[in-house]
Amino acid sequence: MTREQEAAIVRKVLKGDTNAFETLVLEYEKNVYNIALRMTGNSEDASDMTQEAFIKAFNSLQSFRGDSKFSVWLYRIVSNVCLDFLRSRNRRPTVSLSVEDDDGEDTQLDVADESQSPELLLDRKLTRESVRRGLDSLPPDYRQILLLREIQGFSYEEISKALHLEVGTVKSRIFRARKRLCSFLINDGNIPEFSSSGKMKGGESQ
Amino acid sequence: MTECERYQELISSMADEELSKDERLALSAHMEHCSQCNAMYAVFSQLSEIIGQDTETLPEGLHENIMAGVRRTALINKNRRVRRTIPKPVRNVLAAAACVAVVLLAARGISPADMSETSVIRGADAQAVQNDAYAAPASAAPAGLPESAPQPALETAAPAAETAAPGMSGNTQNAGSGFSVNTPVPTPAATQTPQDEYSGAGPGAVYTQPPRSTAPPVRTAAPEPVQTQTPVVTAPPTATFGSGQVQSGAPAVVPSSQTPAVSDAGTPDSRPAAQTPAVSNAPAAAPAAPSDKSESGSDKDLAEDNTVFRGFRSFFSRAPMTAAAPQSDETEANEALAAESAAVAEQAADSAVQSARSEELVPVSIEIDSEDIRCELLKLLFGADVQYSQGDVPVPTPVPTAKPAEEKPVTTPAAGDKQQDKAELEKLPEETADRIYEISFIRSGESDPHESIKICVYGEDIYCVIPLQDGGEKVVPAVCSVDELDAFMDGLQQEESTPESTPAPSAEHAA
Repeated sequence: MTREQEAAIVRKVLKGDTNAFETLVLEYEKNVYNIALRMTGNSEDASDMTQEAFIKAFNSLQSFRGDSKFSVWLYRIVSNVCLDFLRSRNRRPTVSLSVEDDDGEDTQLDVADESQSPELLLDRKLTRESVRRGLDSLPPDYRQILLLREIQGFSYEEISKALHLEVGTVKSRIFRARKRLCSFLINDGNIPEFSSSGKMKGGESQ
Repeated sequence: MTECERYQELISSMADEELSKDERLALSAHMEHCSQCNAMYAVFSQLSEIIGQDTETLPEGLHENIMAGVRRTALINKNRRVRRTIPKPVRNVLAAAACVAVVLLAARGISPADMSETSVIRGADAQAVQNDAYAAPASAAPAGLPESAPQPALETAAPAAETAAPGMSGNTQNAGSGFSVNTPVPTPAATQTPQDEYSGAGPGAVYTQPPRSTAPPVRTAAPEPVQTQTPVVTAPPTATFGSGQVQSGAPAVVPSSQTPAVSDAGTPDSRPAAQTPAVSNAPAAAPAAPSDKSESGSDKDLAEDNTVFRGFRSFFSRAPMTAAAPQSDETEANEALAAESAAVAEQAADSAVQSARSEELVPVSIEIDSEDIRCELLKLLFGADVQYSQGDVPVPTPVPTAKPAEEKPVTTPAAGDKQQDKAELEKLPEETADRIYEISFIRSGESDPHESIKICVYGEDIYCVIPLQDGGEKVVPAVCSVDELDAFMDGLQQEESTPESTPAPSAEHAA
């Protein structure tokens, strides 16, 4: 669906044609649901979040000015709905191994991570399950940005619009998210020597 | 920082194909001899692939749920928009008028004794609080300050005030609107207070709307003592408040006052006045009514039937500002509805409420004890061709379900949408309704709990909530248009209007 088509649909909806909105729902509901699914970790919550996100989108459609893709605007809503939900749920407080610096970026873990080469993961069969657990272990904002990249396939530019971040921040946050994910996966393999603080390099590293 | 560390972020960007040309050149040069960075790139790519492909199909029914939610939201939004159409200045005027009414009522003084037995209380607690607040002044002011009733309009309010007494006195029971009071229909024997005599008679539904007319109520009421006894007295004294009949000055805001059970014990004049209206209004009604009355009147149970009137904003706002009181008298005579006594709706109260909390919606309770009117209403709501048996069957429950589907074309253009929404509407968002009528059908002096129906108006849409035997509810769209419904309600209301006028004279006497 082109931006023009989307804009036309949005205009129709704003004029009172509720049914036209269904076209947009059909276009994006799957990705919205999957992002919500990875964000919340279960189907039930994900369904609720998906519905809530679309209703919010419908309700605030007049604030969509068309200067970005509809999907970018939509996923901002989705992300915020999910983050709000996770904050309120407070069920699984994320165990932070790091200390956030002034920028809100955690540095400590990265330092530790840098010693852990992803090469270790090459020998291991990465499974969906382990990756899901890894995503689950990420702080919500890391998970959010990574999902926008991997599931929705947004460019850094689009993510920066969706999340109101600088492109540079998007780039570094995605990188940190991946590093964390690798770190989790390495440790997830029950390899005792690769604790988060371990300074070990892969044998093949130079 | 090692050389690799400098390139790591670029590797992530490379996996996302977000590298600039310069970055790509620099990185590729490094990666030619760095296995670790190559491994990192490989892992990042693999992760992207896994995450990107690990999607699931939409759970069954989710799409439908989403759209149902969206449609519900659209419906709600639409109604909000409609509400907002009442211009703020008008709302302000209404609120101001309500405040004046309240003060006047308070000034008149209220004796709880008058109303305590009869009044029915349903209503928001919040309202109660408000009433209590007003109650203080009321109690302070001894009954009937002459000053307060300088104008006829004011006088009308006075009786209302009396009826309202229970609420004001701080009774726990307050009418939702705060002001509405129901007088139960007492025994014919009139063992009770003088009020009873009047109230006892009400065969018809008592229902009041605010008198739309700015004209002084006084005219209508020509007190004829003789009529006091006529069973015809359809309009049980329900109190309304509205003092509204501010003639000249007050813009359009005319709260309806009803015939209060003229509690002013004592004034003989008052009685006749109260009843007269009924007579005058519904000549047609008179013949029909008597029979019902005699039955109902004999039933003491009726004492339990309280008509509750609640004010609601939309009603208020809806009342044409220009309408003339006299007109109503005439029109009613023509309508079969005349047979029914109208219940009272107090709007002044409503607007007062409105000022306090603008979003609160107080349903209007209406009791209908005339079979004819009941059938008329049901046909209006669910289809003209529907046959409703007389009373034996729990009326609305079974019938409506089938009807609406066939009949809908009659309705507004929105009917199509409505239908869809409806299917998904398990529970109506009543708080967003423009107005709600709670109708109970009274038969042979008994109030059957099953025979009730709630009518919710949302913009141009009307939904009926029908209680089911199992305790659930069924939501059914009405086939009639809002205009038709309003016309019907106005019919009931107009009947009331006459009775309302009566109070004026009586009040004067009292004063």
